[in-house]
Amino acid sequence: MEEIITIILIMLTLLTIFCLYKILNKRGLYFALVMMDLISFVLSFKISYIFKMNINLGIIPLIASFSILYIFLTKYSAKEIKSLLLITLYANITAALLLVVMNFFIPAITETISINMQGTFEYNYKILIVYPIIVLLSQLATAKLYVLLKEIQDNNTISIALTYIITGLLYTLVMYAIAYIDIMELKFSLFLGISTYILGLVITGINILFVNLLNNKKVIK
Amino acid sequence: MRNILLIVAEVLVCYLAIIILNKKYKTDGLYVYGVIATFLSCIMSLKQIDLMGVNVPIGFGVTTSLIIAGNIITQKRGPEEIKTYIGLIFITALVSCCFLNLSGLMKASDYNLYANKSYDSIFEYNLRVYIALIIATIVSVFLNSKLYYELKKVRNNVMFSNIFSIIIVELLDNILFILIAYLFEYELINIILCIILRYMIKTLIGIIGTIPIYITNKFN
Repeated sequence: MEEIITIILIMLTLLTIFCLYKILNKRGLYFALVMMDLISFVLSFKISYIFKMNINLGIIPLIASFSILYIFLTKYSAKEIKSLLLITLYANITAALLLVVMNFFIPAITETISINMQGTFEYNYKILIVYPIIVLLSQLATAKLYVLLKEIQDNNTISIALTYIITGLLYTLVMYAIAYIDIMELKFSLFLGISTYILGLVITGINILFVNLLNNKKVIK
Repeated sequence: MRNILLIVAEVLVCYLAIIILNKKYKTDGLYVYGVIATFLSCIMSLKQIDLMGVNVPIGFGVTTSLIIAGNIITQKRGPEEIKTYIGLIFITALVSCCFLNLSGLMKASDYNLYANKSYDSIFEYNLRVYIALIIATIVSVFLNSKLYYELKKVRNNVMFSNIFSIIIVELLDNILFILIAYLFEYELINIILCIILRYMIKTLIGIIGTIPIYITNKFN
């Protein structure tokens, strides 16, 4: 069941990017990136058990956000990447602030969702704090490394794969070491990070096909 | 008192985000705000607070600011541009609902079990609230934009257009949202009180929303 939902979610990320890009071109990529970042933010609070591995679900839309960066860098100017990443930072900070505000509301006595929201967002407050910064840094690193690798050799598939292998590993080490301090032992959080990283490699493989497909289409500036 | 202060904080964050995004990215910034606010309203609307003995769902600032951002777009670009904004709200709401609900159905890991179980409980069986939110938001943003534009044609005054359009459309927005989300779930008197309380708060927030419209208009 979990595996099927994972595949549906991966397909959904690709479908969203494709639709927004088809309808709104470059602006569509901006909106899709913000959407994927926000979904990844909230999904990163959930750890599921997929393919007999513990996986942080935030990885699915996060890889999609990297794919948006690859499409953007291939089709448009690399100079605009700063503006693209800044907009995601604003979005993540706004989301984090509003989630914090939401948590502090005194709930109605008869409802139970507030306790669950506290259990999700307040209990994992470190994710709320570190996610916007770490995602910004990892996306910046992804963009820089991808451009560098493309300059060295012109193969898109190799560039994307190598970019994720390096930046994904850095993201995993930093994010999982910080986000779960005091919640679980360091070795468990690193196990979680590594298994999530491995699934990330598979999703990157699927996304490479999608990026190559989109990049072969006509550029609309 | 704490809840009132938090509503003020929520409104401040929302309107500041609108002003900053509009200043940095013009109309595209407002679209991005639409994505952010729609996504967050999908989560915030699930929580309820107690107001005068009545359970009222929160997300007052987030949902009202979506209408205000729509008004700014109408003010700057005309009513035609609102179609893209509504389309974006629809896509965001649909994708968010799919992701949040499907992820809630996935088996929780033993790692960080407490948080995982809490997450699942938030996003299970809330389809009715999501549908209510999507319908109410889209209808109210569309009607508000039309009304705002018509009022602007009658008298080119930001305050006049915003206040009158908000007063009318918020009533419809709250009736639609509460009836679709909670009819037959609570007693009729509670539903009516919930509509009135939510309408009062959201209308007030919408009227304060004249300030960001005025600032963004002046900045242009």
